[in-house]
Amino acid sequence: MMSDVGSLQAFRRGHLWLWLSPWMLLAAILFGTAIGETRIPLSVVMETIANRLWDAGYPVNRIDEGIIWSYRLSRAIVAAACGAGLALTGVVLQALLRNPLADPYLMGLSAGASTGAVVVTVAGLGAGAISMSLGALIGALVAFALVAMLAQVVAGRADTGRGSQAAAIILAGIAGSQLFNALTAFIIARTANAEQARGIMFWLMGNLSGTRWEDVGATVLAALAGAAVCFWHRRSLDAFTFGADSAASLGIAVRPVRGLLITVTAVMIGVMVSKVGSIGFVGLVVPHAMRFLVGTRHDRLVPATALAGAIFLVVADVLSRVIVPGQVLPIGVITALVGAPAFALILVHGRRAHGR
Amino acid sequence: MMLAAENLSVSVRNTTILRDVSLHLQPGECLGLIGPNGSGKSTLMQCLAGLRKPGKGRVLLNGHAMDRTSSKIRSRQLALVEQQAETAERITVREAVELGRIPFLSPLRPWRAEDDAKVHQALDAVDMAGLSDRLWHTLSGGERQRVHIARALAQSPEILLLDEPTNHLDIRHQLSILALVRALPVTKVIALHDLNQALACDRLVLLHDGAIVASGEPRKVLTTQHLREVFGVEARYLTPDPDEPPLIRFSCATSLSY
Ligand SMILES: Nc1ncnc2c1ncn2[C@@H]1O[C@H](COP(=O)(O)OP(=O)(O)OP(=O)(O)O)[C@@H](O)[C@H]1O
Ligand SMILES: [Mg+2]
Repeated sequence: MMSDVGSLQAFRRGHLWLWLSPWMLLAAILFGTAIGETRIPLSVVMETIANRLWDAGYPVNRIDEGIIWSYRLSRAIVAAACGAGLALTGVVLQALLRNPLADPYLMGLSAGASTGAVVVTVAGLGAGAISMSLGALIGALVAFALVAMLAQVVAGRADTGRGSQAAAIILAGIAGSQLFNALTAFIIARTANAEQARGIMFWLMGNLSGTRWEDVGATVLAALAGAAVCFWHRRSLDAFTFGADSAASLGIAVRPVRGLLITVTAVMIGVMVSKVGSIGFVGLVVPHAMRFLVGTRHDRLVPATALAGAIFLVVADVLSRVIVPGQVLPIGVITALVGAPAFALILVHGRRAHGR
Repeated sequence: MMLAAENLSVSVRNTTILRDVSLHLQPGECLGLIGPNGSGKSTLMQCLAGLRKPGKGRVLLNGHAMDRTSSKIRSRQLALVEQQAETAERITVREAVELGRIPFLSPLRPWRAEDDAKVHQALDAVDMAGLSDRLWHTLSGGERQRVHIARALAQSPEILLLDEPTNHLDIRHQLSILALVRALPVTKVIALHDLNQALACDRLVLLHDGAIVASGEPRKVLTTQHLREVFGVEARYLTPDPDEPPLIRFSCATSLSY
């Protein structure tokens, strides 16, 4: 009975989170808009938004209004969309590959997407015909195919249990990331001038400072569509718990479903990376934290992760602007500061779970 | 409700794993699949479950070709307990069994009370209701096996395929699971290694090197000659009590040669 009570509490906690998190996200976006080099009172933020959305006609300083509307609000929304999208890619990859360490950044998918984006922008390949996001999408897909294949070979050689299978993905991911980062650097060195190169490198590290309203549409759409597809296929994601064969005998059309989910993942990575560069560890940290909060079932894990990812990245963006006074850190630094220890924790924990 | 295999052949690279295997399930029967390690039992199971496409021949479910049956429809009629299946997820026993209801759910069809009832029934059937809140990685091998069986039962299938379901089980649970499975009002195929337990099936199919050597009534399949040729053991039937089924006693006749 004790454990019954325990699981009931966990259930309530999960529900509480699902009810609270949308409001927390709203609050985070408002604070993200208020906090920065110049602090703007929340009331002014609200008034500006009211002015813009409903022509409320509050008297607001033009400069404040400009900062709030043109820079900070759009930036906070893009951060939220990217956080949600990146966190969801982690959920999908972890479920399909049945690997707690699967994450677009660690697997080199973000690096592949960067290469794709750079090939399109700098090298001008197929200029105009294919956009940067599409280039990044293709890059992410190529990286996935390469890394998944390599991991399979590595895991097949090392004839041991699931622990080493999890590690194989990371090893393959290192190889993939190194390869794609080197390719990116090579392309930049070959084709970009010093000025361009600095800009691209800054973007590659994960950066939100250039975001504008033009970026809001694509990122929000990608995040919403991704979340919708993942939620629609929540039971399929559950069905992979005991592997692809087990999913198939539970009535999942494994190949098409897996293909769709991987494609959606690549789309999200492609759009996010082409807008804000590769931000690491979101797909690793957020889903694992949410599993503790709401459990492993995807009907709750998917929405909880999307919302938490959004909050996480908005908050990380605020921190990146205020943690060192007078300086803006790349947001990837903040996510890595949280993510790397979490990664270590998952490694140690996984070891214990399998080392019985 | 019928499952049949017609002239199945499976090869991987240049080795043939199954050659020209045909079998027709009778409604409600309990068919035992026996044969030495590597004889192709699991491969045949996977073909019957529609998870593996045979190189030649076909599997028919209710007269329709398996590879043209939608996986959703298939999963509502047929459940498989794999020889081994593991997870690293922190899921509870109940959650693992709840997966068995996935064939009946859809994005728009929510979880219902009847699903809960099926899950409880399945957990009770394998004597795991008391452990339903335990996490998967804390279970023993036998307990995991029972959860897998419960998951298949939660699918409320009409045909149940079990690949060595008594692996890892202690003797009491071996007997109770087999009794439970035999009593289910469904058609079942069981791959077994314990030949004394196989004697209790309605019908046996003996595989050797991917081909069917014999099939039919257990006593006609498990002849001393077959046991010598296929398994390389000498066998003797003992009848300690004339009212009870006989026992087979084995001794190693031919030494293993590799
Ligand atoms: N993908 C594969 N590649 C190569 N060989 C395979 C493959 N799958 C199965 N085999 C081989 O096919 C043969 C039959 O395998 P199968 O698993 O069906 O045997 P089994 O009768 O279930 O054995 P066991 O009693 O050990 O479970 C084995 O020799 C196995 O090595
Ligand atoms: Mg087998």
